[in-house]
Amino acid sequence: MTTPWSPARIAAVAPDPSSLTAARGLAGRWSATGRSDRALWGLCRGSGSKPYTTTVDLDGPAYRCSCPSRKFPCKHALSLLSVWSTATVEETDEPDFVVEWLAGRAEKAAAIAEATTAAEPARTPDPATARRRAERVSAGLDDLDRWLGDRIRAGLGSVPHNRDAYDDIAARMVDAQAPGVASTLRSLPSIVATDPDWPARILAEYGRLHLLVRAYRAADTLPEPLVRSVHTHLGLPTRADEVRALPAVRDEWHVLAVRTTEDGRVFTRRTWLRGRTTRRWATLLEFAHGSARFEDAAPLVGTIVDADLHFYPAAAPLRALLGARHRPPLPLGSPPGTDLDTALDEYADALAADPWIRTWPALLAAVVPTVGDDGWFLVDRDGRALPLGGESDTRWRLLAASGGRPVTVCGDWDGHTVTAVSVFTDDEEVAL
Amino acid sequence: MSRDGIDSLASTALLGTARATADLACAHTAGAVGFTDDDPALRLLSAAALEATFLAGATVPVPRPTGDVAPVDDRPVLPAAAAERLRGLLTVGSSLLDEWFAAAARFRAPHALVVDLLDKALVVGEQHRDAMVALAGPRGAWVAARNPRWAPLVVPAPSEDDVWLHGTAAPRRRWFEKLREHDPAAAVTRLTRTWSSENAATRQSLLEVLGRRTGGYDEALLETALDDRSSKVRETAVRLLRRLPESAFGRRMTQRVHDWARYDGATLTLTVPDPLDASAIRDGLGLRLGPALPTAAAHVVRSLAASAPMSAWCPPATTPNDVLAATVSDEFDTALRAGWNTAAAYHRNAEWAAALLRRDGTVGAHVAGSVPPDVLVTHLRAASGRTLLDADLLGALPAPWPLDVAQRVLTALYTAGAPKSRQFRALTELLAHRAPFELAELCADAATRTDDIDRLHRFSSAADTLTHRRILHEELS
Repeated sequence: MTTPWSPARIAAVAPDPSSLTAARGLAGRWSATGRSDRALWGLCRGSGSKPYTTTVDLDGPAYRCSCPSRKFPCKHALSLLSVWSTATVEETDEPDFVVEWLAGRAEKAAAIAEATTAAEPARTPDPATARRRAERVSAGLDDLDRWLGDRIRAGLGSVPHNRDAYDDIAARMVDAQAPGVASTLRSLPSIVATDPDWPARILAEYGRLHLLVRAYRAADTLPEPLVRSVHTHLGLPTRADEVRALPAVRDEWHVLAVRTTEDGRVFTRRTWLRGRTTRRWATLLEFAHGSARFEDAAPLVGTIVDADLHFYPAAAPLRALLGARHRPPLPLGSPPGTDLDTALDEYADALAADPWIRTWPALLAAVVPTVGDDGWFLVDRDGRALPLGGESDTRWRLLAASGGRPVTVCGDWDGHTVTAVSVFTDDEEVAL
Repeated sequence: MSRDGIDSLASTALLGTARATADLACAHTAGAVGFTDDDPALRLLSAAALEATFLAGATVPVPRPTGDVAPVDDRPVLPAAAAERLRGLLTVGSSLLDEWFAAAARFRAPHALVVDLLDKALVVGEQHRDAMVALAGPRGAWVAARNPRWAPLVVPAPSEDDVWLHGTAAPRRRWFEKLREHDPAAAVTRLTRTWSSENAATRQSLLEVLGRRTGGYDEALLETALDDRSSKVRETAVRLLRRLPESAFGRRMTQRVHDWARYDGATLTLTVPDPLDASAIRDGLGLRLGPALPTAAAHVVRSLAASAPMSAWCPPATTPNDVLAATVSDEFDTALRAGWNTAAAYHRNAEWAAALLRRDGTVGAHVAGSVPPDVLVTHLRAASGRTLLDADLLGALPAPWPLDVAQRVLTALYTAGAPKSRQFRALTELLAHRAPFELAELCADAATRTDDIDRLHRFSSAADTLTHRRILHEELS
């Protein structure tokens, strides 16, 4: 027996607020509604003579409606879900149109899965291409190491730190197919411009890059997962089908936060997950170009998803792809956080495995956000605190959510400050 | 964790390894590994990488106190759909905001909405600011007190009179308005204490604040203000005293009515002394407030009618209807009617307002507000066509209108001329905001049936508004 969706969950799948409003107006127009374990359906009286047939596949979730709307899901599907959540929809046998559609969907999914497996060998890159690529990266990194050494020899105080100085070497790194290094280099001028304590930070960044060069050169002597981490930090791509082919980690994943950011018309959606049994962190990263329309709906924050995750190979695996989902999501309630020490330990472990990571997720239980003349902190019940970073607006939202009372904060720890992304209070979960 | 090591490495890097030698020994990680690089520059980079990584992994919590806790807000949380609705209404500055805030008064905002509410309250007009701050509640006040950005929203406590004693004009007025709302008598006491030391502009501005919740406690200060050096202050004092029929000012006016007016059967004769005595001038009877009238005496009569308690005009055993039926000379007829209208509005005198409506068939918006709703409804039921579409009378009838009245208004609008006009638009909007929700279907029907594109627009937008309002109330129920 599946539970009706909460209004928040329905709102989360709506393409825009106007669809939700439109859906509310349809509540009285339903007939022949029904549901099964996996689907919900009904007929909605529209302006025409023939009612629209609406079906929701609850496992996907996926939606089908005979209306001409190009919004997805359409207002009819949203209204049907609302009707289910507010009134009772009787459990009955699935009518033919539901059975047929679901069977069609299952077939298509199977065909895709088969195609991926079948195509696997064909997609293995040509060894010659791989070698040429390795040579290019290697030559580029030699240049980088020389550039770093020269600047340290001359003194950070005497070399220019404007955008031009870094753009040249960053462009060289793009040519060498190491875009990860290029973006690090491009971020350095602003550190010099904004942080009065920049020499130590710049030196640490240079050191980090030098270490990356050395690790790449010594790849033969390093364990395979660490080599994959080095490649990831350089910006060498990992193919999704390769990741999907790796063994899955099944757990009941707590969905703790979702954040969508935009950079130059590329939208990135990041989802924070933590395994209930494995206690492992995972993040899902998806990209969309031009608009924030992602192929799949993100798992809803505040739910538990019983699913397979395929982790990208790494020394400290974090990024993952969502594989098979085993059961419909359940509400999460308040997620079990950790104390400050556990979070710091997890970070230190991850850093020991992969010294190039910048942040690691943390879920801090029973901390109070505070603001004072000496800045922002998250204080635990023993009066021990970690500095709170991130944007000013985010911190005020966090403070408003807590009201000076202990809350559970999900965020990223970078070794110096916590950047909060969501907060769980006794009665609300708040995206920041 | 000491940063001496990384700082020492950084100062060498700043000078350059060509000129300086790094002291690797002072780092935490000095003894951890041997560095294989031959080049001192690269050796420095390796040492820095190790030390920086160590420092990042070695951070420990610092001791900090927790602060105070926000007061508890017992009100139920605003339903999620209603919170979404509010966001939408605020974004477009909807005309339904007043209705929404009135219906949502018993709820508190979800904490997730507090920051948005405060930010928005900073930029919206006075009209909704207080409602938004109230919705944010004690949690909002608690957060706002910690952020200077939201300081303008922090309600100054009447007990904290620093602002009043030392502040500049605008914050002082705001503090005074708050006190007036909270404790009107205390406000006038505070103002009386500093009255003689305020400048004319401030006296004028603060005296206007007394226009809200005016009462007997204001009388003494207003009497003082009648003798003020500034004519604007005197004028404001007269306007405010007109709202206090029980005052000495009212009694003086009653005396003047008895002295100057005489009923002779069904004729009302007025004899205005010329020139006015000092007392009459002090009470503002020489002021010309409002549109020009033919004679100076007519101005005095209008002021008198606007100032005197309405009971002064009714001889024993007569009603307002009898007084209004009396014949008045042409010179004073318009003046008297205008003055009575003003007085009926000021005193919110339902009996006179109803009598004026009965005699004239219509009254201005400010008088209509004093006509009892049932009298208004009876009057509107008897009207039809153009006389029904009286924006002042309809505007005074609170929502929800009786369905039959709303239907009749819709019918009248269906055939009324000039659907492009501003008046037509104002009336359909009024209908949309006041009619019972059931009218939505009829409005939609009217929209599909009419052959006029403007009418279609207006009616379908009214139907939308009605549906929108119904959902709005459902979300808040």
